[in-house]
Amino acid sequence: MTEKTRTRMTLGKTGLAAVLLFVCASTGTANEVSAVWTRLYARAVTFPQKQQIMMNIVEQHSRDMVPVLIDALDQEIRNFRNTTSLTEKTMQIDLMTTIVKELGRLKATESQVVVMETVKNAEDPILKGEAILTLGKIGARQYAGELALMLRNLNFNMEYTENQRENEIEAYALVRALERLRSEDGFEPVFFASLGWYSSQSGVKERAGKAMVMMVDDPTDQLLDILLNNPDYTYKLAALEAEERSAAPEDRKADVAAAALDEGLKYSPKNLTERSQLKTLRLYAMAMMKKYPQPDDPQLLTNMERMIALYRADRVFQEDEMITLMETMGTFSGEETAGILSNFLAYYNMRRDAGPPDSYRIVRSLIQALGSVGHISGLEELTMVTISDAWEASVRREAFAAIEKIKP
Amino acid sequence: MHKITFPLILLAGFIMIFSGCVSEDVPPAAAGKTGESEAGEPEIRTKRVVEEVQLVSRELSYYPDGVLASYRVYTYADEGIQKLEEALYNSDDELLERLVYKYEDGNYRSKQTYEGLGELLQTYDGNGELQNYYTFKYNDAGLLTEDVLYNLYDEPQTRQEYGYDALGNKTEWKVFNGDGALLSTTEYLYEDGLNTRIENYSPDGTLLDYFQLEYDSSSRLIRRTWYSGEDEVMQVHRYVYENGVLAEERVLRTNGSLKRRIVYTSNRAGYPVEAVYLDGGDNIQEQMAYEYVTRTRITYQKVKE
Repeated sequence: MTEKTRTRMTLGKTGLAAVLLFVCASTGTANEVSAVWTRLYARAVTFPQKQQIMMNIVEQHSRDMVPVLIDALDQEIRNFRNTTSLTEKTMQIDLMTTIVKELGRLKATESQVVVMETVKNAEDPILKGEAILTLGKIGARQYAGELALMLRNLNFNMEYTENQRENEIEAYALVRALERLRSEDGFEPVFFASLGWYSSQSGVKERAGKAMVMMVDDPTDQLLDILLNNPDYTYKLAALEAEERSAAPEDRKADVAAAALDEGLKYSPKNLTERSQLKTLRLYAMAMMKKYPQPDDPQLLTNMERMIALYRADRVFQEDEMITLMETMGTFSGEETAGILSNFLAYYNMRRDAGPPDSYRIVRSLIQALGSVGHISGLEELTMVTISDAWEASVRREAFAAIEKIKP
Repeated sequence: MHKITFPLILLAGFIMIFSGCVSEDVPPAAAGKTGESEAGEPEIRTKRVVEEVQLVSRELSYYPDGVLASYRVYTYADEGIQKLEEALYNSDDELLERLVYKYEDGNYRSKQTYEGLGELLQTYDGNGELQNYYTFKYNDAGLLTEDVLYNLYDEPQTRQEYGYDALGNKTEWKVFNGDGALLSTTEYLYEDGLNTRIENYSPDGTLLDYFQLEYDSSSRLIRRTWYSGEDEVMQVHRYVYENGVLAEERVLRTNGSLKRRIVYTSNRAGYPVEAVYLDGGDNIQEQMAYEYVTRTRITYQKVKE
C-alpha cells in the first residue's frame, strides 16, 4: 500500500473516537491520576513536598480530589498552632490558600465545615479572605449568620486602625460571600458596609452596593426597618435608594417611598446639613412615588396634603419640592386628589387679585396636575383661572388645556 | 493519563470530530516513522489524517441555582488547532488565572500559569505574576515523553515521564519529585488495542492499586473499577450511552450506592454542550456549558497493516 489512497472514514468510527476522547478528557480525570496524587500527598511530610504535590492535584481540577483536599486542609488546621517557624508558616498559609481556592472552584459543598474552620483559625488576611469567598461558592448557607455577624462587627471598625487593610480584605470577601449565599441575614450588614468606613481603594462599598441588588429578591422589610428606625438621615436616604435599585415589586417601592416622605416630614432639622438631607429624602421619595404611581391608593396622599398645608402656612418648602409634589400628585386619580389640588388652586385664585403668586412655576404645575388627575371636581377652580383678568394669558392657556383633559 | 495519550487534543480542550475525516498513507521517507515489517509481524504504517474538528472556545461553569460562577475563554492560532491561551474569569469578568502556551516544532514546549488579578485584588496586591509553569518534551513520533512542573522560582517541583508502545499507546507513567527521586510508577495494559488495565506501583515495585476497564462491543468504555492492591473494590465508574453518545457517568461506592453522577447533553456528533454534576441525592453540584469553534486538524497515526 505504497500508493497514496484516500479513504473516507466512516462516521461510526469517527463518532466512536469522539466518545472515547471525551470519556478520557472530561470524565477523565483518569482515576489512576487521582489515586497516585492522593497517595503521594499522604506521603509528603515537609511543606515543600506537600506544595509540590498539591500543585499537581490542583492541576487536575477533579472532583475525585475533593476528599484529599479536605483531609489536607483539615490536617493543616490541626497543625496550625504547632507551626512556629516563619518560613514554614508562610508555606503553610500558601498551601492552605491553594487548597481553599480549589475547593471553591470545585464547588465542593462537602467541605463546608473544614473551610469554616479555616476562616476561624486563619490569621493571614488573604487565606481568611479566600476561605470566606469559598464559603460563598460552595453554598455554605448554614454559616450565613456567622458571616453576617463578622461583617457587622467589621462595619463598626472596632479594631485598631493598623488592621484596616486586613479588615478591608475580610470585609470585601464577606460581602461577596453573603451576596453569593443570597441570605436575608446578610442584607443589613451588607447595606451598612456600602456606607461604611472602608476606603475607595478597597472596593468594599462599591461591591456592597452591587450586592444589595442581587442578594435578596425583595429587601423591602429590611430597608423599611432601617428607614424607620435608624436615626441617621443619611441611612434613611440610602435605604430608600437601595429599595429603588432593588428588584422589589413596584407597589412595595411606592410604600417605602411613602414611608420615606413621612420620615422626611416628621423631623425638624437642627442645622443646614440636616435640612438639606431631609429635603433630599423628600424629593427622592416623591420622585419614586411619581415613578411608581399608585393612582388608587389615597392613603399615600396624606403627607402630600400636609405638605400643601405647611407650604400655605409658612412656605416651609422650596419651589422645586412643591413642583415635584404637584407632579407626583398628578399621577393619582379620583375625587380626593382633585379636591386637595382644587383647594390649593382656590388659595392661589383668591390671592391673585392681591398680587402675583410666589411662584408661577408652582401654579402651572398645580394646574397641569389637576388636568392629569382628570376628575370633574377640578373644573370649577380651573374655570376661575380662565375667566380671571388677574391671571396672565399663559396661565389661562394652561388652565384651558387642563380643562380639555378633564372634559369627557 | 489524558495529557499523554492525546496530548495535543486534551491540552487544547475537548475536541469534537463532527464530520468525516480523510486519511491518506504517508510514504516512509516523508513520515520517517514507519516501522519495519519483519517475517510474520504486521507492518506498521503512518497515516496522515485531516479532520474538521471543533475546539472548545468557552467553558462556562454555573452554580447549582443556575447563576454563572466562572467561565474559561480559549484562544487559538488563526489557523490549525494550536491553543495559545486560556483565561479564567469570574462572573464579574475579573481575571482569575491565565495560562499561556508556547510551541516548538508544533508541540507544546511550555505552559505558564499566571495568577489573575483575582477576586480579592481590589483589597491586596494581586500582581498577575507567573505562578508556575510546565515544560514538555516529545519523542520523534510527537508523543509527550516528559513534563516538568516548575514553581515561580524556576525550581522543579515534579517530573513526569511517559512511555509508549510501537502503536503510540501509552504504556508507562512515572512521577519523580523535584530532586529526581522516583515517587510512583503506573503501567497501562492493552488487549485488542484497548486499554483494559492500569496498575499503580510504589517506588519499590509493590502493586498499590489497579483499575479494570471494560468495553462494550462497540469498543466504548462502559465500566472502570478501582481495586486496592488486595483486590478489594474501591470505586466504580459506569458510563451509559444513548444512541451511541455518552449520556451519563455514574460513580458508585464500594457498596454499590450512587456517589455522584454526571448527565451530559450532547450535540449530534456526541460531544457535550452541557454537563450537570449531581451528588448521590440528585442535588445539583455544578452545571457546565461548552461552546465551540471549528478548525482543521492534521495528525499522523500509526496503524497495523
